[in-house]
Amino acid sequence: MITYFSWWYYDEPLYLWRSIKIITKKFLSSFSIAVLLRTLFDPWKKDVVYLENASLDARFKAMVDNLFSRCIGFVVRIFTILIGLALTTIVFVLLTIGFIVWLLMPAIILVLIISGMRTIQNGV
Amino acid sequence: MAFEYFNSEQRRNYFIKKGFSDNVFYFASFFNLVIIILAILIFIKQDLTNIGYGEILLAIALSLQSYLLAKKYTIYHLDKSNPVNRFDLALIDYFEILINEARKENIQQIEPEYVFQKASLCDEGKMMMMRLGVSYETKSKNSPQNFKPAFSPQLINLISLIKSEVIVFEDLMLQIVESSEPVKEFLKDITVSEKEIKPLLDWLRKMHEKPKRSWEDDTLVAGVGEDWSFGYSPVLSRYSYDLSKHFPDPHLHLAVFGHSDIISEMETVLSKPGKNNVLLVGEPGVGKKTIVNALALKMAQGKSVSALHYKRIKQLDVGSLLAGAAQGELEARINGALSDAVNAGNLILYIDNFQSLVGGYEHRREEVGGIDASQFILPYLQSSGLQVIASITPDEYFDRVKSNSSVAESFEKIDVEPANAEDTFAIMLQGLNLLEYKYKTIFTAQVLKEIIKLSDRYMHEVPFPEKALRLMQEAAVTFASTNFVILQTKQIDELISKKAHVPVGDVKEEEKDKLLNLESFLHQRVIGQEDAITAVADALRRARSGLTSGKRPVGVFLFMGPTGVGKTETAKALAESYFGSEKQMIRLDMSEYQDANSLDRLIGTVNNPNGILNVAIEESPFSLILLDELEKADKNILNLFLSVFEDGRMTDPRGKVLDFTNSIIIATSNAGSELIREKVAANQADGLKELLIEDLQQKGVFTPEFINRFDGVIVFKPLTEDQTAQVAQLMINQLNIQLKDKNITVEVAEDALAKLSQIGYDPQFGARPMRRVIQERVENLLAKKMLSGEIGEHQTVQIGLEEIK
Repeated sequence: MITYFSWWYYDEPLYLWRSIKIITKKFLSSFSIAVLLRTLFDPWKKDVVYLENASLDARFKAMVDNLFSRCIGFVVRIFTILIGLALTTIVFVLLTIGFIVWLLMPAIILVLIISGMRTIQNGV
Repeated sequence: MAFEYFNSEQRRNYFIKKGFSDNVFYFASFFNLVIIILAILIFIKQDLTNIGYGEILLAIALSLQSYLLAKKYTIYHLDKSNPVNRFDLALIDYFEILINEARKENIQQIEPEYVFQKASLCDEGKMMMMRLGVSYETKSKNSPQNFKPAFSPQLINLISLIKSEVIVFEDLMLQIVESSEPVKEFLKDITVSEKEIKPLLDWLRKMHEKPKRSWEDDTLVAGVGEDWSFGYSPVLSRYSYDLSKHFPDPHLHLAVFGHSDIISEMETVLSKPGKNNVLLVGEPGVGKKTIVNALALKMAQGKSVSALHYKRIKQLDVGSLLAGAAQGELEARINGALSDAVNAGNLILYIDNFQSLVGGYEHRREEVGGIDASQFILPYLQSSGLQVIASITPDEYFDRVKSNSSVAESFEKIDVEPANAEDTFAIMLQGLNLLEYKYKTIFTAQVLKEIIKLSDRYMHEVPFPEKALRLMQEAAVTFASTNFVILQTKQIDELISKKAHVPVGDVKEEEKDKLLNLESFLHQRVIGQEDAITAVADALRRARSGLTSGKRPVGVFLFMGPTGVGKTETAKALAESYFGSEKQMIRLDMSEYQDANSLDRLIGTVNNPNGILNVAIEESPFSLILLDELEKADKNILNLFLSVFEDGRMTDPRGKVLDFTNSIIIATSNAGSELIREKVAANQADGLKELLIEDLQQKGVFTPEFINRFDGVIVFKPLTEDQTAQVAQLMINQLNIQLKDKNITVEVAEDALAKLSQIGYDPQFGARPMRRVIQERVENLLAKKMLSGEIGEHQTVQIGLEEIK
């Protein structure tokens, strides 16, 4: 019994928590959250126009194009970041709930039994 | 708690797990899941819940599932002070087999040697014994008796020395090998050393390592957003491929034995600001590409330093970049590809064979197909926008990079040295399984060692590990079979003998006879000179019997004596007998190297490494080197040969080591000929050698330290009349061999032979005029007779004294 409880409350929670961390890290990595944040305002696919000795009109057009490229980059990245963060959060929360349930399992079983017994007694 | 096997918790754990299979767990869990769903449904139905059966059912189902999980995954809170509790279950499995075997064989106490001896009764042990070339033990057919065998204090002691948190089969075997003298002796008998056991057990450990489950493995792969953060590289994509995507399995473990420090060094250079291009300099085959691949893999797995996260290595395909590019187009292609790499922002460019893109010395640039794109590449190398890893050979580095200081300064140079024998052994083990499976050939540790030994000795042009891997591959292909066969070391000897054209391995009967009767073989070509023949024959026999260190030339001799007494002929005969042909002889007339400047011609210069000796020894390392008239060479050149005679190696001006350990070196000298003649004429030949050496040292021809480097200084004496006649007869015999195709035989009468030997001998030049005399007096005569039709096929021509006058 001591072994059982030491496994349930010590070995397995350590293992579970490490697994939760790895899964969360993998989710964040799958959406490349860190690098997307770092390049959030960069032009889309680094697609920019450089003009030297061009007319003012052409330079203005290039500036608008570059701004547009940055906007597209920002929108796509922020969208991916948000979806990635949302999914990672959901997965993390679900796994954490599972982890808490694991910790509370003996208590849950006890509560269910007591509650069931009481209900049966009251019913009878 | 001390060592306690039978009452250990881990042994109990083993039996529990054995009786509770995965199938039972999954079936019971599925059944339990149905109950849980049912309980939840009941729970949801309020009217039923009121009477509490839902809660009870759910509680029972959850308890049952907890029990199942505990049963499957519980690792008892083990008392680690008992080493048995640190055994993995496979090791307990082996111990159970071992105990059962001891009961059958009535072994009361289990010793370490018994544990090693019976290793092949488990799967891991079978593989170990297969590699060691040891036949498997079979299980005893006796019935086991009912007793608990004890573990010997030695075994308990060595197990307690194992520090691993989890003790596996390989840990135990390694400890036994290190601690048990009988096992050490056994390994010595099968010619396997402790040094080889470790990589072998590491290989075994990797073979049995269970792959991690995805939630246990922290290896990361590239995410969806990486492509959206960096730029396009359309031009570069046409001329390159991504090394980070090159690996079919991102979890692949690419070991780079002996080179992990180079990977760390590369990471440091690539991470720092400023000069952050890497130039790997090493001979082809030292593993430069493997290093770059390993770094690419490390980066792809997110295990590299943080500055290299999200970076990828793309290998530039120089061939396709240069293919069909007209003048001007090449510049556009290079600029396009490199600016793409800069624009992408996350690329490190790998350029293999960097020499194909950069020029260097003028003479190299004029080579066919030689280009110099350094002017286009240089601005990119000097900018911080692009990072490059390039690889090049040391020779090409001297030629093409070092001479161009701008290019050289753009790189951090990292030398890649060849692997040593131990690392090569481990590298060979790594790729072995696939090779064995493909060609159905098994390589034992002894065979691998033989491959390493022989490739080291006979394949000097290629470095480790390449040469050993190449020979291993060749052996697998050559001896491929339809059923699995275990290769023998003698098969490797045969293979290398064929490749190098020299006898390797155990001496066979036919060769044994030849070696034992080498003197008579040499005397078929050389008349007299007993001392010389005996000395060289002895040296050869020593070399073939494996009594030489292999760290010096096979033999180094100084032949001294007048002209025309057989010095060169002895060298030729030796080349024929040892290397199979007298063509295997590098002949250097040392009178052509009389001034210090001629050294450049002999061993080359930094700018032009193609010296006569360098090229010759690299092309034919298995040769006899004849240094004719050595005394005439410049003193600096003689000093150069000191290290060759002593260590069998010479360093050329570029620092490249030339190997002479497979050569026989014979130097000839006419110095002291007069003294020899005088002493022989006065019949005072005793102690002539010592007298001659002293005379030469006094005259300053050779220094004492130079003379001492020779294995033997051999004095060739002037030929006697009788010996001169034998030389004449030898030449007539050679003429008969030439005429064999025409079925004509020449017989020279005794008096005619005496006349020929008299005319053919010159006190100054010995028997050297003999060849000319035979030509003038015998061959000319024969030619006339053949043309006039006087003699035809199947005739014997008698030549008398009258005809040769």
